[in-house]
Amino acid sequence: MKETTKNQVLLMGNEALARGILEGGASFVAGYPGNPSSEIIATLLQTAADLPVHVEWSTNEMVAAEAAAGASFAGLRAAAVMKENGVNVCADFLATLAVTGVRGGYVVVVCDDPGPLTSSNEGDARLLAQALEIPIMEASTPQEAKDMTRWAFQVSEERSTPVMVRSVSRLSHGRAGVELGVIPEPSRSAEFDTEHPLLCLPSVAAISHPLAHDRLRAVQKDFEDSIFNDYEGSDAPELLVISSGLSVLYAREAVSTLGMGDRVGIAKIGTVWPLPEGRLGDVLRRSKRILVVEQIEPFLEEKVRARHSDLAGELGDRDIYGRRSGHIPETGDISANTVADALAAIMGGGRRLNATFAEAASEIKEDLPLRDISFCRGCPHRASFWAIRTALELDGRNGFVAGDIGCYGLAAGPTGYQQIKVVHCMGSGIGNASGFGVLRDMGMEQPVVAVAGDSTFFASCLPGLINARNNGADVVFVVLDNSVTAMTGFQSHPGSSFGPRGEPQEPLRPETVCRALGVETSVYDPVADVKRVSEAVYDRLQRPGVQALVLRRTCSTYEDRMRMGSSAVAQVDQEICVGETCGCDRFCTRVVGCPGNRWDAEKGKAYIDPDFCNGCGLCVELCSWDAISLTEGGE
Amino acid sequence: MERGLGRLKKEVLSHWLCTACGACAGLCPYIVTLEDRVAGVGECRESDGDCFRFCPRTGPVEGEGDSGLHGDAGYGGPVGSYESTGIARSGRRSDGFQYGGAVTALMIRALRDGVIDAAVLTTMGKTGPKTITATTEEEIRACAGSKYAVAPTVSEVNRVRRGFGGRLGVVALPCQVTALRKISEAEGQEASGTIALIVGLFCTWALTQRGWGALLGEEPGPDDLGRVDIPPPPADVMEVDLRGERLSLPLREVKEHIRPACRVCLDMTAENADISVGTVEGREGWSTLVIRTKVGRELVERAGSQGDLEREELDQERWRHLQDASLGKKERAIASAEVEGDMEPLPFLLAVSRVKEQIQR
Repeated sequence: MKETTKNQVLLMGNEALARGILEGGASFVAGYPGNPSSEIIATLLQTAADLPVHVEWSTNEMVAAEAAAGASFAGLRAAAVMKENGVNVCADFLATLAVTGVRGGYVVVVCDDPGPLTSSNEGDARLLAQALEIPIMEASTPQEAKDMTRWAFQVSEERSTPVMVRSVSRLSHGRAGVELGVIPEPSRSAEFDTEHPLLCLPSVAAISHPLAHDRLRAVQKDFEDSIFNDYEGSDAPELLVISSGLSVLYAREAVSTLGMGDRVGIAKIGTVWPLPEGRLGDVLRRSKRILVVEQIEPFLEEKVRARHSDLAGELGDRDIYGRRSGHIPETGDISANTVADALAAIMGGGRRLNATFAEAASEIKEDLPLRDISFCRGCPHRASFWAIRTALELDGRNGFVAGDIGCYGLAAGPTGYQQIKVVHCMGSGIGNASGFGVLRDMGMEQPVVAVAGDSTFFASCLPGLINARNNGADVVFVVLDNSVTAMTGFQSHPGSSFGPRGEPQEPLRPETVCRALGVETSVYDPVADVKRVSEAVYDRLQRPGVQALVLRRTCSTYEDRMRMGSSAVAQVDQEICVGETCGCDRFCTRVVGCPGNRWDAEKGKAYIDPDFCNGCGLCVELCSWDAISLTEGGE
Repeated sequence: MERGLGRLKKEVLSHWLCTACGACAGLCPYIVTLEDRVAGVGECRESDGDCFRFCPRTGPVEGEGDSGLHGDAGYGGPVGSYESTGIARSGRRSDGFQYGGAVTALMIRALRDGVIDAAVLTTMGKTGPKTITATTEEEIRACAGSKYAVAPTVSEVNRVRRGFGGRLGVVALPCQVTALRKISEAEGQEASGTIALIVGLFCTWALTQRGWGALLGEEPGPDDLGRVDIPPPPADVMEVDLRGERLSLPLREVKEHIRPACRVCLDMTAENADISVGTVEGREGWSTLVIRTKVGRELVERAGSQGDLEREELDQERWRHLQDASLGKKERAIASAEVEGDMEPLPFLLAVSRVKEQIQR
């Protein structure tokens, strides 16, 4: 944390959220990695190491939410941290938690990904929160993210309800000066009151559900007076912008840059659900024309329309603009330009603030080289998918791969030879495959390979794998074990040999789990054994039932970071290399596709860029002319 | 017109037409073999590739005249062209040999006389037939016996040709023989790794490796499989000596595992070989020889004069029977090709269909 002024430090939004968790007095924090939320737990692991706070990477978001609730039930303040998709994972638990209520303050910090930039979909946590009957607030700045999180613990504990705090990618990853508050001294000891069990059972829930609604009404009342709701502008502006979260900054920038401060007022809503209806009514009285600016779904917009409907007799007509009117695009991320465009359309005479990124990019597009998104240099997934591809081609029944959302999801593209044909969410590959694998009587002749990463294996694959085995599905299940949660920033997981703070840890191996589930499992190094792996996959494709393979080799980029990789570098013997002639046609540089394999067009020969070679040896294994060899330390 | 891997995949590899001879493999990284499977992996841009040229199933190549090859590559009479016929058995009998042991005797003679420096042969591997390169008499003897399933033998020839300057003798099935003849004619006798001798085996059909394993209960290991025989009708069984026991497999079940590619094969007697060798019905221990080239004739004569082979004439009745059987296979292949060609007009199927007119003429 860098100090800016005497009282401020420069914090990333996620760091501010982490600080808010500490200032809120949490004793327990659990999460599962996932952009854009990953830095919150990572920050706490670093900064709270000496504080009496338990911080963990849980096996998945469901477990994180449940484990944190355990701490809350024991009277401690606790937080569960996740990206939006994680709320889907733990929705079953949260829905019942909202009914039983909590003891110690319980906050779910959730980071949405408008766009999406790094997610498989752009879900909106506000809709989920409402469905789960959990109050949700939305921060606009890192300062507010911290302060709002701290307050969320207070609301949660006072009203005995879980509370969610929403961030979005550009807030989580943006930086601003934040004034720090005090981290309270620990004053509680954990104890569960067995006299008052927390039971969400049919008979009990019928009684508890109305109580939960009472709690929501109490929270709504708290929200009426919240400092996180604000209004800036004239008393009766020509246009009123109603906005929440980061969108408020976009609205402010657009209004200020277009010089519309006198004509346009901005009502900022931090406490988005249950919406403080009195406050909203006051806002609606200010103007006949209303533009709602928010991220992802028209959540506030629907609320505004509903509130206007409630007050129609008093207010009369209102023109309400937003996503439904087409003034804000229906999906995707927004920016200050989006708001400026909407203002121009409604008020007239507006202009774009500056060229958008897309426009700027299109101008220089001609000069940019074409580059496919690619696995990293020496990435073991490249070898794994080459082996799988080879096996499926040998099998000849038009087989395919069902995958999910780790780095290996890139195998839907050229870098993984377009092998993955189905991608949805964590663990969906093996689940889908357990369906494909029983369709033989319905005419399905294609074999299916399911892939999952090692972290995903522990997070989300076990029920699918058990289901496949139990239902006699024909599936080859391949665990791509690179020993870290690589895609989200190299976090540890149960199969890693290091713990959350880098300390040594006894890894739980995927093959141990698979075998214990009665699934025959073999382990290979996907690079050194690339040919044996293709033989093994082919062999398993011919057998009935579930067969597992664990392809284990440490993530090459993680190795680079830890400086633990091989010092060997590949070298091409250009005397042997046959280049573009029949017999090769630039196989290593054109087909295998590792960034380290380069083509010397002048000589018509392949060579290795030593700066891009980590000595994995895949090209050595695959060159059918034995023209490539490994040299220790390079030349 | 493109004659590369893309077209090979489109016309052969992606279909049931591929015989898994291995002619296209062992030449580059794009074509891989495993057990009795051959597949193209990755896109090669070469528009005139050896893979397409050497394949026995690419059909007649546009712009090129009659290849002069027979069997699957053209019609040259019921058993193709030949110089002479006969029957023979090994002069040094060994019980491990299928039928007459003539093939083993010929290969050993060829090695001894320096006609070849190495022999590419098929043995039983851990999971099925496997092709090896033998350079000693003991290694050649260890490969005796029929296999009834295929291995991509020609890929081993391609692999060995690359790093080996000597002359190769190959024992091969008819589809493989056609590929080997294509290669030897394309590469000439000057190339390194010359194919100097092709001994062909009579073949009615071959089984898939996995199917063969399934029939036997488990895949036979190297020393598990003894003699395999299909006695003449009405027996309707395949007899197999497996680990000292004689199994009698119903022929109907066996035939379910015939490689689909065999259904449209025109070649029973390995018409493009130097010498073709097969069974002699009713003469236990003897092999039929069809000697087709000067190389074949000289080898058989030397083997006879050196006492490796005991030789007799092939009687007229057996000779007629062999021609009828060979023609019968062609007619069955043509009938299958006509049906399949209607559904998928692949060049090879159309070429097989056209052989009908040549037979009628």
